[in-house]
Amino acid sequence: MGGTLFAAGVAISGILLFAAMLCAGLRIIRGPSGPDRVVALDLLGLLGVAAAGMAVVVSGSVAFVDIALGVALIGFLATVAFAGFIERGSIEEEEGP
Amino acid sequence: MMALLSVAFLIAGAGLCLIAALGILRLPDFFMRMHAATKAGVVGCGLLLVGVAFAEPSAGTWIKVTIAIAFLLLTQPIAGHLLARAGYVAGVPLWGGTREDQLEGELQRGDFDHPASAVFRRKTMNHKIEKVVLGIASGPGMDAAITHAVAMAKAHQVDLAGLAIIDTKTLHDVGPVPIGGNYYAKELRNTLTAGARRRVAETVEVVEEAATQAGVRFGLYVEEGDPIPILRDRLTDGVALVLSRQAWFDHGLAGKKIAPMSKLTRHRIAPASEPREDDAPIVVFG
Repeated sequence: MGGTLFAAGVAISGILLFAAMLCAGLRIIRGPSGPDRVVALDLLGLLGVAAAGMAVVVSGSVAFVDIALGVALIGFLATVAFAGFIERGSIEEEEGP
Repeated sequence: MMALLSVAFLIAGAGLCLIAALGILRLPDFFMRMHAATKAGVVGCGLLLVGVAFAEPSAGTWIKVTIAIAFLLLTQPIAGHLLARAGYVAGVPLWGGTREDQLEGELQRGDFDHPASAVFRRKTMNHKIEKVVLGIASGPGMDAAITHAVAMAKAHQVDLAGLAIIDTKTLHDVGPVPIGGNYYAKELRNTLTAGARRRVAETVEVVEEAATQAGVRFGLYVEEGDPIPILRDRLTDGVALVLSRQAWFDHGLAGKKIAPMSKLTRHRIAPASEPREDDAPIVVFG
């Protein structure tokens, strides 16, 4: 009874997630400025966490939850690093000692 | 029952993720996009993870999912805030319809080189050059710039104006001083400025001699301050600005290497010619 419903629900959410990834990817391609891309990348990292969650449901392997945690951590670090780059300006000459 | 709950949470989470992504795609400026991505993204992702925990219910999964959600709730606001602040400080343009900028005056905004904006356009050639302005710096590449500017002024039968700038913005930034070191920092600033003035005088002599030899009328402006706005002021129609490719207006005294090309590009002053050789001077048309 629940089998087909569950499978259909997983498929639908997978499709929604894929569409979301496409939107974020399109924004990364379009830009127009670097910070816009970084925000889209940040969201793509979040969607990666969600995708790892979907992988748990699809494959039945609980280990993917750990991967979701790892992706979330990496995404956060990446965003913080990018924010630093943006704030200092990427083309400006490096500051001397 | 669990399957039903799981599906409901999964679809709700994925739907919210899609809404966040649509916000990223459709909203008009960086700050709105940031707001869409961080708020809806976290909620969507969290709901989806709850759905996952319902699908594979065990104590371990629930704990891990709770940790993951708590982590997202802790980090994403920080990441979003950092990004927004960085974007604002860097000077990412606000949407044209913005009515109130509450951070105005609170944070200093930069000059963001916006690739899509029409401000940054490469000017190739003026119809007529009415004046040649030579940026007088000191350092390597200056001789080539002097020769080029004098030749240009002579070829177009126009006056040559020397624009000597002392980059006090860079020279006065002497870095951190130890406690009690402010007096010496002031002394250092004065010494650096005086040194720059001496170097300007030397270079001006060289330029004057070159101009007299070529029979070009020569005038001189001396300015102290941030070179970029000064250069921008001078770049009116009909002006050809000649700069050295390697020497900047710190006159070699700032203790760090400043590349004029990247400095100009960063501030949306577009040079006319591509770099051909190392010593070729930079030419900018107003």
